[in-house]
Amino acid sequence: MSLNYLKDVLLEELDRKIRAKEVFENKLNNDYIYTQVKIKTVSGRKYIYVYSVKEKRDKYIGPYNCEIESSYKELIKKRDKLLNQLQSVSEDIPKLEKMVNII
Amino acid sequence: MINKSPNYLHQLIDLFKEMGIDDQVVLIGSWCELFYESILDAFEANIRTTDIDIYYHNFNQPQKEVPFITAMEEIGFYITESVFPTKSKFINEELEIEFLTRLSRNHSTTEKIKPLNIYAECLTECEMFGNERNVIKCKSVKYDLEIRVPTPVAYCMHKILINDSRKMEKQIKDKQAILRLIPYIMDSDVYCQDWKRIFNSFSKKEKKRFLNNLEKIELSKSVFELCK
Repeated sequence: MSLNYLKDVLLEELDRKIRAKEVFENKLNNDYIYTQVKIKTVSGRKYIYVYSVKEKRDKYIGPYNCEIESSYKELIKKRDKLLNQLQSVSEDIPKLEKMVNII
Repeated sequence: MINKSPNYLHQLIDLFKEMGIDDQVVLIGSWCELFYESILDAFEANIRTTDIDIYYHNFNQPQKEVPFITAMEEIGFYITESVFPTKSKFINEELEIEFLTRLSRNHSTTEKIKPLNIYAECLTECEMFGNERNVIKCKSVKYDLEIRVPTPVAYCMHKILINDSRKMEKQIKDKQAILRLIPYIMDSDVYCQDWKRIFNSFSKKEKKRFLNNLEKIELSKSVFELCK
């Protein structure tokens, strides 16, 4: 395998990781913006709120409902998964850059 | 060579089945070579690409919409769309998945796969994968995967046909794939007949392009004989 070929493979991989990082960041900033489900009790009645990192405040969702609560919890789980994916590509990028620079 | 885990492909194939679109999709590109290991004796796949390409011929089928984008997100693939032209791509930390389709009547560069609500690139050279005779349902015993892929002949001929439009590095890689497949084709009467059939189905322009590329790849005379 020639060094040019190897460099090409690494550059292709680096480009892809950068694209993936952009997609993940975009999703985290616009779609998966809730980090916490909060149940608040007012005058003996329960209400659901979610914390939005985009708006930096609790957002009112509605009266307590078990299904709504679990759907938001599911969304938060997906955000955590996405954060792990973002961390993984973010760690790979400098490693690949270093390898490309060596060649 | 970067060897990607076929686990992602496994998840994708399961998802196609779950959505009821496994009969609509054809896995194209070098990932097919994983499957050829099961049908060609001692054949070894060489996967370097980080892309999985899926050909989707009938972009209006099935008639009902399926929650494809949501299901892809469930398995960690997120959609991204370029604007001019609108083209969808799914990305996770390891791979990118793209959809390709045939050229439509309006000759757009991309076409919407309506039931999936995504956009695929239209490539006329891929249309051969819309012909059921050029596609086989193949099981990789090694990885316990099953999906429709081009026949080795269709795969090889497609690589030859598009060789002149590929970047230099990819031309070299494709040439290696072609040279690894050619002996299997030349050894089988069925594959040789298939080669002739596919060649005869090409347009005049495609035949000329194919023969030019064959010459550049410097294949033996016996391969040229199949194109008569």
